[in-house]
Amino acid sequence: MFRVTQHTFLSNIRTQLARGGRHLLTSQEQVATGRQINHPSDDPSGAFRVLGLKAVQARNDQYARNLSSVTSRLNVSENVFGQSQEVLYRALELSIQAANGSLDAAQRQVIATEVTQQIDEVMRLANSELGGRYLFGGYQTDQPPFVRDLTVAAEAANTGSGTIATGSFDSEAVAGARYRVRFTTAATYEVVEVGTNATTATGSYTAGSPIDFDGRGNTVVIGGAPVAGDSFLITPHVVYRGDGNDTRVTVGEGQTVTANVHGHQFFLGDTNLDGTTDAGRVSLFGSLEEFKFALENNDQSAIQIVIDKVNQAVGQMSEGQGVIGGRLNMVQSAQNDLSQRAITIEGLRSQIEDADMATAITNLSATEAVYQATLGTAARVLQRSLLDYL
Amino acid sequence: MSLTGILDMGRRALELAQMRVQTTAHNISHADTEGYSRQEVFSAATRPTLVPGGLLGTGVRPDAIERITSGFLEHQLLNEKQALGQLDLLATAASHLEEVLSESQVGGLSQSLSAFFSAWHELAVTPEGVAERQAVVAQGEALARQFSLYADGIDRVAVDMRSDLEGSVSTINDLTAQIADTNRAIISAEAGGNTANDLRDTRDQLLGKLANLTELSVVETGNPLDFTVQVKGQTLVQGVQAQRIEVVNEADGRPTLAVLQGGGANPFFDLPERGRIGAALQVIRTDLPAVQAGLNEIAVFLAAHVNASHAAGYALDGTTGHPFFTAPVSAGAGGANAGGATIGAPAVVDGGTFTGHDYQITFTAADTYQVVDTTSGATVIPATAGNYTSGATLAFGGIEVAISTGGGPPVAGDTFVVAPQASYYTAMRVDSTLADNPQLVVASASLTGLPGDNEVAMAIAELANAATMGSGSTTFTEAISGLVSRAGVDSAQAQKGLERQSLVVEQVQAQRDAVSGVSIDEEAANLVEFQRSYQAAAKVIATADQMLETLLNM
Repeated sequence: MFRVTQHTFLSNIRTQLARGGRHLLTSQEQVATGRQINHPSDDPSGAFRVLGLKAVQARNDQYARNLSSVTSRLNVSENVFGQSQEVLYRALELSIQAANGSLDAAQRQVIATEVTQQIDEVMRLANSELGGRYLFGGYQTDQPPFVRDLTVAAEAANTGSGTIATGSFDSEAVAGARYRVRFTTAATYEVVEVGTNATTATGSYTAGSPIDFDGRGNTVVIGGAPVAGDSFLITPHVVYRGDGNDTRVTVGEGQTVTANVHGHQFFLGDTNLDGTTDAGRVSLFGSLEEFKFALENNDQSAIQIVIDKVNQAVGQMSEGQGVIGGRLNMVQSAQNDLSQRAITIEGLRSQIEDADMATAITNLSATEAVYQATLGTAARVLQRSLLDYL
Repeated sequence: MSLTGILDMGRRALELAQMRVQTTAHNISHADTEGYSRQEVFSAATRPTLVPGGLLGTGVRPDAIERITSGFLEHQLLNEKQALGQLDLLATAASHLEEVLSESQVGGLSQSLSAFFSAWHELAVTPEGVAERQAVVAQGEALARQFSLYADGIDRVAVDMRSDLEGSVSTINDLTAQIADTNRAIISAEAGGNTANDLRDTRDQLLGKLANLTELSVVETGNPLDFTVQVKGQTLVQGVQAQRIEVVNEADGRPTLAVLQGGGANPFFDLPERGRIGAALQVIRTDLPAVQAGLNEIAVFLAAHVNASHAAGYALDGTTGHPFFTAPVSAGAGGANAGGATIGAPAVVDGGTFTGHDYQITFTAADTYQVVDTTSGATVIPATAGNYTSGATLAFGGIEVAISTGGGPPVAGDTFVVAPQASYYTAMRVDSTLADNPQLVVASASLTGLPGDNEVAMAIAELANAATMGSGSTTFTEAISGLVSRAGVDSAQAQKGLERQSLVVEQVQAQRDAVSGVSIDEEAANLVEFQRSYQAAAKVIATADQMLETLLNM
């Protein structure tokens, strides 16, 4: 016969209450946190998958942030191309107007002044920054990629033995105007801005000493023995000092998007970075400078040639916008893909980790009922004793 | 048969009934005493008298007062309690460890790692940024801190387990001393040939407590002098003698047990696996070191890969060769080196071929050496290929290390050990020069590409997806998730085991109680029965008395 003692009852009840209490705690925790995995031991393989999914989620969030940064850069770049195109349209209009044979030199000079501003405007656009970084310089994002270099030359009619070389000049500050250094005597010179004919400097000549030609500290050096009437021409032109690197940004596992467009390709038409405009392409700056010089020279046939180049430059900007547009499409679809995936991953995570509230609350009620029943039966069993009846 | 004989018989019955009531009272008094075995008075007939017609009964005498026990169940209970004690502590330790490694909603290693790689992504998007560099340094520090938080947590578990172990051992010594004392008391109590029921009960209770603490085997022959308690072949109690044990450290710092004998400590050959101390020893000696090694491997590989990319790139100021985390590999000369050559600080130069293994460089002559991967046992550079010239840099397993001859050339037999630090994860930090000057954080792969080149930052950010660990099968996140879920599995198993074992012990306990336990109802019924016996015996005496009176009045 199996004897059941009071002690057996009591220890049984204690164990049942402890177990019931533990279940109650687990159910309550699930309802309170809304998760069915509160400790890895609740579902170790589920916890493993949740950690993996959360890491993927964090990574995708980062990819989304990368994508939005790429988007803003591409948008700004596209804007720059659009604005440059606006400027070129105006230049095209001016070139057609200037090609008209009825215009005189003074009228063309007025147009030249406007073209000077346009060159500066395109240069400002090509040196656009976003968040302190220059957009079109490749990896060289800390300095304006488009600056001016000077070409200096003795004019063909010179009879003296004077030679000219560039002195020191600030390539970022030097203006787009041409200057002519003219020797009034063998020992004195004056500097005149071509086009406006404004005198910017005069002085006495010492061979080899720097000549400040624009009154702003930019110099050329003339050596040898020029004679009166000799003159030297200083011509600025825009050069590129960035590089041809692509700034790639990771937008997915093993997927990158190039966030920059090449300024040298679209503004200078110099895709291979050899310093000269490639065949079949145009330099925006070169065309506008050519236009300006033709206007200053009152050279109608040269103006005629410029119309085509400006027209082509407009097309080059469209091409750039097309490249960016294509990339933006790609970015957009990557973004859609990411947000789609985020929903899927969140769904998976929720399925594993989150408690189904209806089930959790039902479980809680059921566990509670069991606990109460245990308490009730315990109370009844413990009251019974033979001693009550003796 | 005389009338006085009947009187005498009545007296003995009366006395027996009284003894039974007293024993019942003793049982009832101990109804709640853990491990108490109910006692029963057994009676026998006294020698009968031969009368014409047969043997006439002469009444009753108490034969023995015995405790009602089952040796089999007591033994089974001892066994199951050992497993219960073990699982109880294992479950506690596993759940502590699980909480230490658990990725809560607010933070964890996996999240710190994601944040770290995110910061590198931000730097890849803005490779010129100083704020982004500061964020990379800050996230690197946070990641390192998370590693050391885990290390602290594991240390806390180890300290808890160690103090539990020490406490258990001290209790074991108390218990074995008490068992020896009880044996002594049993010997003197049983000198007259009786059974010392309560003392034997006491000894069983002490054994029950001991079984909870340690694996043990009991040899009992009935003679208390032969009573032996052994733990894994080491005798702790022999009759009235008890041997003390203590916790001693092995050479590598891991705790083990030793028996104190004649002023010396005699280490255990086999350590107990069951009981609380079995669990504590297992956790400290095996379980925690495995987790620590796992974390360390992640930290060492992470640092190796990040450093290899980082050191190859160029900082904003154009300098190169900066490690991101402090050097993960240590090097040292063998103790018995006879030559004067010294080894420099090793650098991980190629995270891709870095193994995290230990290496030993052995000079076979002043100008030849061999390198052995002591973790795998493979020879990485055979002596035929290892030609040494003074000051040369040795390269193997993605590591470069220089051995210089400032103090003299190496001689044959000199050894040098190159090993990733065993506790790297507890000490790893963002290199202090970077922390002081975030400008030195590298994003660029080339000097000419500064500052817009983001190749290095991108490569480091993409380490998040790279299967860099487990011989190229596992990402860092997967390795961390693996550790966490393993802790979860261990904890879940220990909890389930504990629950199961509690049921087993409860079951055996119920079976033992079914034999030895005191039932109040039963004792109450017995009380009524024995009271009636008493009353009846009194009636016998009264009847005999009346008979005597009748006789006297004749």
